[in-house]
This record gives sequence, C-alpha cells and structure tokens, in this order.
Amino acid sequence: MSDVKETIQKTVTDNSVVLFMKGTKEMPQCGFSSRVAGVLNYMGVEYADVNVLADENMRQGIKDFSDWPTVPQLYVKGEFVGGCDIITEMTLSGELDTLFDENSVTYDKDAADKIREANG
Amino acid sequence: MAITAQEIETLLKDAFPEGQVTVQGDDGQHFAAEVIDASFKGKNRVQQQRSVYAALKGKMDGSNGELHALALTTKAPS
Repeated sequence: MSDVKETIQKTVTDNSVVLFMKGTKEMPQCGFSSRVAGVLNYMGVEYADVNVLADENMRQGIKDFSDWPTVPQLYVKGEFVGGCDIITEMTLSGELDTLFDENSVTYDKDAADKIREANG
Repeated sequence: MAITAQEIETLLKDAFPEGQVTVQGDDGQHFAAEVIDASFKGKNRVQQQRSVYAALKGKMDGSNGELHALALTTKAPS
C-alpha cells in the first residue's frame, strides 16, 4: 500500500471522526469544506481535520482511497460517510445524529436540532 | 473550455437511460444535478452518488476540478 494510503488508513483508524478538507477546521478554504466543518464545530463534535491542500499526495490519495472524486470527506470509525451534499442531507434528516449515537460519538443534540429548525 | 449543464445532462442520461436527470447551472462552474433511477433502490447515498460520479469520470475532474462544484442529489423512484 502506498505510504499516503497507509497514512490515511492509520488516521481514520486512530480517530473516531476525521474530516479530510480544504483548509483547517479553524480556517476552511472552500465553501463545501467550511459547511461540513461548520456543522461539526457547531455540534461540538471532536474530530481530526486533515488539510489536503497542504499535501498534493494527500489531495489525490484521499480520492483514490475512497473512490470519491471530491473533498471534503467525512469518516466515522474508519467508514467513509460522504461529502458535503450527503452530510448536509444527513444533518437535516437526523441520520447524522443516529450515526453518531450508533458509534458513541459525543455531540450536542440541541445544536443539531437548532440546525434543523434553522433550515426548516 | 468549461463544461455545460447540457453536456453533463447528456453524460448522465447515457449512464441512466431510464432515469430522470435534471441539471442546472449556467455559470460554467457551479452545477446542481438530480438523478432519480431504479438502480439506486437499496443503495445508500454514497453508493448511489459513486455511480453518478463514475458516469462523469474524467469529464469533470481536474486539479481544480469542475466537479468540485457539482451539488448532487440522488434518489430511487418512490
């Protein structure tokens, strides 16, 4: 396995929630990445952020790893969950809450409800 | 030369001949596509959208990647 794949595998194994994104959770550098990071930050989820802009191998490697052509990419307990569209849909439908519950990922339930109310 | 909504629609219609495909976006960069197809039945969103991205393979991705700006919605017919 190439070293970038190994690094990715290790990262998604060692951290229950990982977001491969453009920029960082404090400083996202793309609208789609910032939306997903924003949801996770607002819901108080603890996650590792990986800035794919910092390393061209990572930028391509993550797309090969998941056979998914875009960034951001969210992983929960080593499983690829989706990109911006899917995470947005799952947040609004409540499926993201369920996924976090099932994987004992702590998050702020009221914040999740507020997001849904705001996008009613 | 930026891709057009029409070209994306054709690509998706070829890949999903019986499906319902709608593509919007007239700025040459940001697109929204919806694909409703029976083949999505029983598949989760990631699997559904993977097959759509596969239909666009190599047409839209590049390092800045026009695909970067494709908002995708997929459903099985209800």
